Amino acid sequence: MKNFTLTDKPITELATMIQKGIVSPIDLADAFLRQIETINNALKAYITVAEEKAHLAAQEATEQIRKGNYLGMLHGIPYACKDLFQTRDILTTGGSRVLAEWIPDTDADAIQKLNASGGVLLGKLNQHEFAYGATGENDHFGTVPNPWDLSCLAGGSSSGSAAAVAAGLAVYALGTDTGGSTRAPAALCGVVGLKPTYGRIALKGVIPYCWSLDHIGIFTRSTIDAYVVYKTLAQNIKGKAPLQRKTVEPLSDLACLDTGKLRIGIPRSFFYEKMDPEILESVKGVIREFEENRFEVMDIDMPPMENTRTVSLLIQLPEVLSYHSRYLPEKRGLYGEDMRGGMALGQFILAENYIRAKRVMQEYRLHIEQTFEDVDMIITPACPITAPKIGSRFITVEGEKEPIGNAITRFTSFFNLTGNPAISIPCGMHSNGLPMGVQLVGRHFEEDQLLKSAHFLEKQIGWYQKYDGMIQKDPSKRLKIDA
Amino acid sequence: MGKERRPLTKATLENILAEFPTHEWADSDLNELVSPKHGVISGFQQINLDTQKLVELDLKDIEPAGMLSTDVEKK
Repeated sequence: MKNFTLTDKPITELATMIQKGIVSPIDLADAFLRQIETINNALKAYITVAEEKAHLAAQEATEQIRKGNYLGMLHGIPYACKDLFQTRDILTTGGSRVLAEWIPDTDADAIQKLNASGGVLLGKLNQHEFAYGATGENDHFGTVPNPWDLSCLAGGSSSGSAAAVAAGLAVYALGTDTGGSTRAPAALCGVVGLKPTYGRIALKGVIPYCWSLDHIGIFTRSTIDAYVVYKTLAQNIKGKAPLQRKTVEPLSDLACLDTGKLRIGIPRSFFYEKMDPEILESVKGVIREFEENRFEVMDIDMPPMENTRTVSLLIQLPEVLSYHSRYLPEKRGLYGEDMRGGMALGQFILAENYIRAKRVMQEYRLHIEQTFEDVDMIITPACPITAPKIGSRFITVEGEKEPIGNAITRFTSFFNLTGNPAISIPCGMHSNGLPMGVQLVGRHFEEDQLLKSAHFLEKQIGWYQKYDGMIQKDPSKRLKIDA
Repeated sequence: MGKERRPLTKATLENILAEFPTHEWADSDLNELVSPKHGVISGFQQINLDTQKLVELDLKDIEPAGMLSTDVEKK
């Protein structure tokens, strides 16, 4: 079997192939490791490739499945994680020179769960240093380019996670999301990016950036894949759906959506302003798709948005400084200039203003809970722009100049403050050849409903059938990665 | 509206560092706060102006945001 036919497929197809004995976990691991060897020099998606451990895990999975001990859909499936996740006996850098030699002796909670489900960890993915920043630029390990156009950014901070899944270097990947660091790069790279409710997936063993806003993120090729990984990682919250079960049946679970009952909210302001007109048209097409399929669509009022970035920064900067204070006396000079500047700013923010920002954050939550009494889901564009050129600092949209990092996360960061589950799925190709994404946001702890709606939309758009795998299948889209 | 304030200067930051218990920062770090080169933060002066808008909000008795739920079931 040729590599591209394997490295191109979602979890659901590969799991069926494993169960039928068409491929083994060893075949899969070999195919992905070869793909990494071919492409990673250009893509810089992996900081560390855990080849030996991946082989051992794949051999174990192959052996167990041969004996009839099949653990479920993730058994034998190769995955990777952002280098913020602690991994036992594997270098964990956080994308920084500060941790250039740290080899943890335990796995992060999420890694433990995936490995216990038979997952095969291929390695650790590149990122913006310690998740500080949305561009994914990294002076030390290199900046991950966008697989659709190597002159553009993959976006960040989970740049390697998005690029690896888009380019077939992992079937799925874990990232984090503090202001959009999963949903935004997913949109820019044409993959699915899910941020479950704040606290739904345990962050234990993940290097923190900002405790108040950090979420774990899941990158996949399809919404069904996102559902499978999410169900494996989700913690049960008393009195809240959903619940881990012994088996996940994604096709039947996601197919049973009653479209007649869902009410969709479209924010009247902010989220549809100062953006690329083609993305705006594409998202309007998504809304029409829902309307034509008996969803009820209505305009909604959101809280005033002009302060959200300030609120987010006033929380992020003191928290990132507080965590990294342990390293500063000895290693301050090893941090990148941009992160040092942010931490220095965190030093001068008054404690009262930090608390005030957390109170405004609570006000946002109360407002959004009220909004979700009238609607079941909110739809916005995932990003106002397509992937910007590497090295660009500002972008001008409708005559207004904005730092690239702000623009990338302008539509996502509010939902880190409110903690709602949100998903970015591809909604079309821009005339510049880059993917565009739409963001669906659900009620707290109602990820199942969100994923059902996203799955419905994904089927209507047909992105996966049209574009996914294009990079592997169409030589003109290989972008000279392996030349 | 709050009172009008003088623009922030690097000397102010240096004085704070000299007089308060803080981490040590390089000259270039302080420069980033008064004349930012990177796109992530917009400088201390801008943050101060933006923060002033928050200070003017009437938050009544709203408490700081915490966990959405700490009620995690242990398996």
